[in-house]
Amino acid sequence: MSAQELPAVQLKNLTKRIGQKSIVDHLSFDIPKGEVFGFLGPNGAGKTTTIRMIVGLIAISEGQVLIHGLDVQKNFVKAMSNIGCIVENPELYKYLTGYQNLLHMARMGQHPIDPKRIKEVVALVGLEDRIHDKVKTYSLGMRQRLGLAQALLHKPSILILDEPTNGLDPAGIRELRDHLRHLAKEEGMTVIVSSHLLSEMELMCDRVAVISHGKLIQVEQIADMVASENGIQTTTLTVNNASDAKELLSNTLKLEATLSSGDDQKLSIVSDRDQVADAIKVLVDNNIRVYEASTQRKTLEDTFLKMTGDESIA
Amino acid sequence: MLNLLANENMKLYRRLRTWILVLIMVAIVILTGVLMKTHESPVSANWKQTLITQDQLISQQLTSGHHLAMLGANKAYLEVQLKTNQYEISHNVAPAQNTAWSFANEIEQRAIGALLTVFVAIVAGDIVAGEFSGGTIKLLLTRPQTRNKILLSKYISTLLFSVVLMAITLAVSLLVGTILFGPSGADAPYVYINASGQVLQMNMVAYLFANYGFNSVSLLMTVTIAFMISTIFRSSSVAIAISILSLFIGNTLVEVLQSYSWDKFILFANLNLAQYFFNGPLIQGMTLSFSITTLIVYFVVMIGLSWYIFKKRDVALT
Ligand SMILES: Nc1ncnc2c1ncn2[C@@H]1O[C@H](COP(=O)(O)OP(=O)(O)O)[C@@H](O)[C@H]1O
Ligand SMILES: [Mg+2]
Repeated sequence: MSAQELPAVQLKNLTKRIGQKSIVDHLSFDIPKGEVFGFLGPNGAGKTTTIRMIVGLIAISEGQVLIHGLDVQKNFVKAMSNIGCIVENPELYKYLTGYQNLLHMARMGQHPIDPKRIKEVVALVGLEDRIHDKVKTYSLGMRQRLGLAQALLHKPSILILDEPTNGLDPAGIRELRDHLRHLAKEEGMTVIVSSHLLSEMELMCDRVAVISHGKLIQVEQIADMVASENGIQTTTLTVNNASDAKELLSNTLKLEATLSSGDDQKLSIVSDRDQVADAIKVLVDNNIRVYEASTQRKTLEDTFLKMTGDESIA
Repeated sequence: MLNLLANENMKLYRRLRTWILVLIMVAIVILTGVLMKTHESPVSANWKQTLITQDQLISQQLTSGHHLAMLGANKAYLEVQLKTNQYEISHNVAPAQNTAWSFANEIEQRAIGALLTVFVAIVAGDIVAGEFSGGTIKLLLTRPQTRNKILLSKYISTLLFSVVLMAITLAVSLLVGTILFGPSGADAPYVYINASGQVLQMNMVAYLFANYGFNSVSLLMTVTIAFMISTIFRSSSVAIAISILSLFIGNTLVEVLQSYSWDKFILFANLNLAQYFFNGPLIQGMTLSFSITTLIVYFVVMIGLSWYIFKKRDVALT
């Protein structure tokens, strides 16, 4: 496999044990380049722990993390050159100015950073007016902006943000979302975000890994998660005669419909989209009046609750 | 590595606390100087005559054989007195008069010694633990730098701070001394009895630098102790408190446990290498090479422990 095709991040059996307990339990999945990728799971699922292992804050008990194919345990310095991250909260030196904080970050890299680049990120997060003030005078929102500027300073190919929307107001969340999508789309950056809020992930991510109790439940594209399993959906039809309709569908299309118990005008079929169209045509052609056809799309919420075993997350 | 050091220095010197420590130091030097100046004992008009008489008495005692046995160890002290007096007479310096150099020595030995240690312990105790308590350790450890280099840059910056603080103290005490007591006294002899009972002398400048030299060894160990404690605790205030406490407890322990033969193996019994040159060792039977070896062993163990703890540390899995 050439370097071009390598996923941005690969987790292989990644495990963190504390005593007997595995708080992250054999996670294996790939994070493709240039996508916004979400770690989704209830509080305590192990998202932060996973991120901490990826960025080298805690030791890996078992398994591997590869960054563009580089093992973080063996090749830490090279692997980290690709990463910008905020783990939990943006961390800043409050007694330094915003600019000094960025200067500090600039010196932490492997390659020198042009002062122009510092200016650039300051402008990017809109802190020009206050950048030479001490961070202790900053509001929470400004601190978060400065944190993001720090993470972006070295132009990382992978940006990792742990619960980035915590403490943001709806406008801030929207702005961040647009920003992250822009970074992925226009600059080809791989963005990894974690959240316990499904609604946020739905809008922000291309793909999510659902994690619960330290285990991977599944990795799926958001679009697929919203669609029903394999394109099969349940459609309820309201007709003038439900039992006639059921017989007709069974004879002509081999579709077994279920009659609604309390209503003699309703029946439901489980089928793909085309079969729904066929069914309606058959019914209409045979002079059965079709008043209504409604498809119950499973919501993302339903899928998610099913996956994590009914833990409240939304 | 130089970049990391620049960062550590920026964090140290852009911080108000650091300058408060420096300011306190400067203030104490000035205050001590002013107090010494105002409390200087007046020079009696016939001080020279008094000294000459004293000298004659001492010479008599030293030469008359039958007194010698009784004098015993005091003989050396009499010789010190004699030599000091002779210098003062020939250079026309009244006894117990302060000079810039004697003042600087006074500051080094009395006013500053303990304070310098405490201030250095504050900075060293905070330098690692402070990053943990502030959460900023995450900034340092998620960048393409090895933990080795990060810790080393912190250790070096602490050592540099100790040197800076010592240099400021020395410079300010010489400056204040010169302003208050005049620039003379550099060639005045410091007469002392060495460990084997001989009476020797060196000039005040040499003595001052020797003292700073010995003090640096003890400061190096202090920095290393506080630095190790700093890598153990996540709270910088706890690390600072324990560092300072351990310095005081350690020194007290050496005195309390003097009757035990293993007392000499305590780090703090070996901190002051000047004892082998000036007054003889604190505990009988200790030698310079014993102390140096002990210090090196302690140093290696403490540095090893600091590195081991820092490199193994899981960041925030509490
Ligand atoms: N030092 C520790 N010892 C034992 N369990 C821990 C420790 N630190 C975290 N945990 C547990 O690990 C689990 C995962 O935590 P975390 O990764 O923070 O979850 P998330 O970020 O998904 O909310 C939690 O159940 C937490 O209680
Ligand atoms: Mg978390």
